Amino acid sequence: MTAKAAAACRDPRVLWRRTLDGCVLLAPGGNPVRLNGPAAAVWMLLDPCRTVDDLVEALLAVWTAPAEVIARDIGPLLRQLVAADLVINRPA
Amino acid sequence: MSCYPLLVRAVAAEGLDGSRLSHPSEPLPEAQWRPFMATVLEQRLTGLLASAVGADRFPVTVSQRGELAELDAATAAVSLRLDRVLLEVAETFDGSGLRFRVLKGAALAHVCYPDPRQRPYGDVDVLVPSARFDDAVRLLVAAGGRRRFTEPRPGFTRRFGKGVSVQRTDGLEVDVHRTFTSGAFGMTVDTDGLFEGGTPFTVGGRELLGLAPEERFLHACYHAVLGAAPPRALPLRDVAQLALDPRLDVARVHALVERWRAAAVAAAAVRIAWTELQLADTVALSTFAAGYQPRRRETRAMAAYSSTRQRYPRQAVAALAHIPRARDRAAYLVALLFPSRQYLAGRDRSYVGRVVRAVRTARTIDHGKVQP
Repeated sequence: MTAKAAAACRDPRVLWRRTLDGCVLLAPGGNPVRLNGPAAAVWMLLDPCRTVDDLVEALLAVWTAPAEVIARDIGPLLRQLVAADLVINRPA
Repeated sequence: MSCYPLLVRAVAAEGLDGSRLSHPSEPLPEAQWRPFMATVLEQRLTGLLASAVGADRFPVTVSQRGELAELDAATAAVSLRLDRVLLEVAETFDGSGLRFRVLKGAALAHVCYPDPRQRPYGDVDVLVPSARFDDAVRLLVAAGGRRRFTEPRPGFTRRFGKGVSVQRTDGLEVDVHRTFTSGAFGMTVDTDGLFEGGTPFTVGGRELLGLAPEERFLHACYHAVLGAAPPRALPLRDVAQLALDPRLDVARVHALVERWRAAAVAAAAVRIAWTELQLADTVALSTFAAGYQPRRRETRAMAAYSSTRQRYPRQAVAALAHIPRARDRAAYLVALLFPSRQYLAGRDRSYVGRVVRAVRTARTIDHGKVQP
């Protein structure tokens, strides 16, 4: 997913629940996946769909990490969520 | 007198602004935390406790928070698996044109609580029309499920029973309901009328239907006071949660209660919920509950559900009077006194033994007094 070309969205078939330390997600045919910390924060922000730039800006408001660190880490995190069939990419 | 410690009741009342109960001001010492958590788990209150802790309303130590976080995540995972089961059941029923309503935990969590995690559940409950009950069970068994209990005779549950549990190969259970409860109070529910309305909600992108609000509230009352003795904390919270919803049509609740002869059930549920959760709110239903005086026959009918001795046989005997047609009453009696050999094998082992037990049960239901 390039930074400006696509938006990350929650897969509508994914079931999820908020938990005390993040959230738990269940994709069709999968096992429950527990997200904590930044991964959980990203999931919570993906309603509505967001581009990478949107996510970085939103995370800066809640995380104390530098912008370049967040921007560097967000791509691999989103790729992991897509690979786990939790997040899908749509044209922005 | 309450069955639950104040701390546990306060958790059950979490989020209800009118409750006079309060959480502790400091973390519980370990010696108190252990039994407290055992009861929270047993009463399925982890979601509500996690809500309170997450909002800093219930102080905990770091280790206690870590323990609760693990339990909360595990509980959430079970609820999600059950939601997935619910979607599979919906697809199975859709394929046969079988309409249904989602009951209890899954419906309440998604419709009635601010956050579904506050209302965990341990199985899937669906209501199907009586005429299609056997079809529903057959479909679930064909999909790999196993009916947990044999019915006295084929067709008994469809005509007279509450429902049946079907256990899947993954160990999860689907409870297929025909009415709200076994026994007398189950016989007077207008089961066909339960499908006239519904409350839509979405799970995994799929729209499902729960009961209409007033039927949902009454089902919560039935479940709270007739489903277990003593009433469990989470069902009592359900009753309060629904009774306090300003969208509930109280006039319609009273009309249903009249038609179903369920006034004593609704009054008891609200009264016990208000007492256990120490609610200061005064709403139409709490006023009704506080002032309702059950008739002797209602008290007698409810005693069959709160009795710790021969609970199911007492309910079975009490139901007889509520079966309108003589032919159906005869079929009911024959099925219970002379069930299939397969059913008998797991219980009385002989027809003589079964008839003797039935007579003893009937004698214990003293028509002049309430038997505890």
